[in-house]
Amino acid sequence: MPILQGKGLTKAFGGVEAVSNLDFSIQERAIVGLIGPNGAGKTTLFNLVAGAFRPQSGRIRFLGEEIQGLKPFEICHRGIGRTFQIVKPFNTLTVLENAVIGARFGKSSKIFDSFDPTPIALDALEFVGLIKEKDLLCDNLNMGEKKRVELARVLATAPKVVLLDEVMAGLNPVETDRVMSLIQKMRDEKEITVFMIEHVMKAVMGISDQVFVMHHGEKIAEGLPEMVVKDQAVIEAYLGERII
Amino acid sequence: MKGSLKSILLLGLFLLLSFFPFLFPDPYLIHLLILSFIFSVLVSNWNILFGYMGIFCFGQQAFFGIGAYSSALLALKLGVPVPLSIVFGGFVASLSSILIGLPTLRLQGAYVALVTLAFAEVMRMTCSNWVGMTRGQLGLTVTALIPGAGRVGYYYVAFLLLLLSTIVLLKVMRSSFGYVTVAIRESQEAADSLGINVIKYKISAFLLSSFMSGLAGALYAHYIRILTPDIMSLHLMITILVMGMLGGIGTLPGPILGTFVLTFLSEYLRDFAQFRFIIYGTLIILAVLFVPGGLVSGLRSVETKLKGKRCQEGSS
Ligand SMILES: Nc1ncnc2c1ncn2[C@@H]1O[C@H](COP(=O)(O)OP(=O)(O)OP(=O)(O)O)[C@@H](O)[C@H]1O
Ligand SMILES: [Mg+2]
Repeated sequence: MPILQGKGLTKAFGGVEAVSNLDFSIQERAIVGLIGPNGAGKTTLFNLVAGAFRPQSGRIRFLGEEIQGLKPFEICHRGIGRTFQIVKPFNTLTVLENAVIGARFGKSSKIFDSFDPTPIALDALEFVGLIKEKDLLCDNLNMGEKKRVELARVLATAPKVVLLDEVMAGLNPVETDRVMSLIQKMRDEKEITVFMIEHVMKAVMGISDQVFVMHHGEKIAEGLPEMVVKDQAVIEAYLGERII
Repeated sequence: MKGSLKSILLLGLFLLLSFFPFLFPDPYLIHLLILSFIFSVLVSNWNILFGYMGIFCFGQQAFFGIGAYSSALLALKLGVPVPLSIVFGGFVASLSSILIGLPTLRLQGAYVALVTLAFAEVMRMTCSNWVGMTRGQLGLTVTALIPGAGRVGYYYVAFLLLLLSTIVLLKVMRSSFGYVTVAIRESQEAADSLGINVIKYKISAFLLSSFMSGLAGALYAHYIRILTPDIMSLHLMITILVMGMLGGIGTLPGPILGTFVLTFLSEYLRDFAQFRFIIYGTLIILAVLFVPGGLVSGLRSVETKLKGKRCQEGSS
């Protein structure tokens, strides 16, 4: 049974359907890539799954339960984490405090709770390789580090599925490789299912088990990465752009 | 070393303020301290919304005024004992914050500022025009705290209120609520995505902040004993803003420090009263330019410099 599934999802802004009657299905412990030209509706789809937008129609099932209409914090508590295309670290807090927030509230929004979230946060920082930077303010980090703070933060919420929105955009090749192996390690060691929007083709081709292609709010292709890039509809969607 | 020096200073300050009316029985100084205590409570609690959560609340004067009017009217019309009516004033202010808090939940930045400001103006106009109840601009003559209560009595009640507010804020901000507030200020979307129920905590912050502000307003009314709708004027909000910015928003000691400095300063600048807002404006500009984090951050950087010096001396 798929861990995450969408059926007939639609979300329009004004007259434009950013996501249009879209179906998708993701197997547990898969790494699934989501590609498509700019404005295809990829981020909007993530916002629907993460609860930031409510779909105008359609259903989303996670672990067999319908979750459309839940608030973002409730979706997080259920076990779906996300990062943002434009990073949103808590700049005036330290790296550790950022991760502590994920650990502290990831499963419950209660304030007066007695458990200590710090060990979980430290684990997450260790995992993404930010232990040495733990006492720095996020404001002072470079882009690659900020992206890893977002990863650590979401890992600290102990998710079953993560939605990664272009985590590799703006990274240099070394950092890109590092994040690619991090994503694989997340799946292999933490058994997390990964759904990732990515423009960096090397990454999509390199680590995805399966790729979805969106165009004008619709899913126009899906399958193994090497099959998808040969698909005629995909090539037309990207007409004028080089995919690889 | 450092920590203990700080606690000794704080303890000294606490003892000084505890015995002040007996050490220096100067009614004028005591009066200024009472005002400083009351306004410290108001500014500190506004700071929770503005400084910590990043909610552009420009209607704090309404909570102060609503607390004042509710308590004054309850005592006057129904003869409720004043200490009780003050607590009631806090609750009414808190209730009113739901009215103002809810519409601001979905708004951002400047819109929040406009809505909260408009709310305060509507409240002021209501008090001004509901003459049958409030006597409008003529004002109410407010009951004393306790019949025959003297200045020293008010001093201790105001001092206790500030202690209470400070302890509550310390406790709350050192719990994970402190993280929640800053997370919401830095990115509401990120906070939400990490499992924080943003709406619930914004409402909680409004409830707490307005309750304390309402208590402060009520105590103020029973101390000054004349209450007009001007208590909710924009002037008060500007004063709150200046006090906060001067001391340092987003910190706990900042608003208290700023309030004391400005209260005493404006008394000594009394002769220039007509220039008050020009002076305030200049202060804000100077603070923003030279000590953007307010006096508290200025003090902290002096402290780190001193510490650095001491380390150097130690090592040489
Ligand atoms: N909050 C919003 N309000 C109005 N229109 C929006 C909003 N978010 C997205 N859109 C529109 O929806 C369409 C899809 O946008 P979306 O951000 O989902 O694309 P994307 O596939 O993530 O693109 P990119 O690769 O550039 O990130 C675009 O036409 C965009 O302008
Ligand atoms: Mg996008």
